[in-house]
Amino acid sequence: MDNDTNKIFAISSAALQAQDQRLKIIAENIANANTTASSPTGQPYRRQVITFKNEFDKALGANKIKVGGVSTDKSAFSRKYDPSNPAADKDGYVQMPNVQPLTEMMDMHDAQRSYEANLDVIEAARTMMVHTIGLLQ
Amino acid sequence: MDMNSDGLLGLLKERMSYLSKRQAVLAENVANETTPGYKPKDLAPFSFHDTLHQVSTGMMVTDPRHITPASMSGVNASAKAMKSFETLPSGNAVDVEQQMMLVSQTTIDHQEVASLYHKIMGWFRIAVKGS
Repeated sequence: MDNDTNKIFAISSAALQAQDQRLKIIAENIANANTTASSPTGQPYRRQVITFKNEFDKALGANKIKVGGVSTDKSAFSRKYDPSNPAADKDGYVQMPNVQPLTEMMDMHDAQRSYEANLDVIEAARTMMVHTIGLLQ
Repeated sequence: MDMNSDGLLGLLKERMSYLSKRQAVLAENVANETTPGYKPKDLAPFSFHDTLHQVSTGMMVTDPRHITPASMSGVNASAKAMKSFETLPSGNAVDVEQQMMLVSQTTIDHQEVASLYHKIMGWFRIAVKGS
């Protein structure tokens, strides 16, 4: 009982950490949605993408989720006409980051929902533990 | 009725550890909701009949040199792939709603067993105190 409940806490808290990391990357993307270069030769902010993998924890005997890595989105930058910008090229266009605020918002909701689900599992395990301890009364 | 770990209390104990184990498997499923290629798992259903049979007629250890019986079939069950509603393009087949339903079901089942255990302990109390 105790062993399994501790296992649940370890698995779910690893997942909470992973979703936390995901939310951090999303925040970074949204914050930098308008970050352009300071010169025409520079590049604007490139969207970051987080990937997950599951890793077998030998000590725990369960598959824990782990952040696989953070890579960059390879899609093309969008262009915006803004001749007064220091990063504008000779035609007056500025390269804008490849961040889509709508995509980021959807991703954020997904991360939030996943976080809640894991919290609920921890809560369920805690309730079970309380019932077991209640047998002592 | 005796207070050894066989019989009724043994059965409840096995059921309780089965439910804890199942909750751990479900926690794994929910945690890996975003992992590409992950398939959800579940334990085989708890067999009341088989477990009762094993608990009441299992091998007895009356000497420390005896072989200890392997744990009961219900608890020994290993996690197997479970049926899922859909598989995402990433290969992930975890359906969080389904998993959360199973999690709360397991919690309720656990509460039921805990209440039964409590009830039986109340009977022992009556037997001891005689009222």
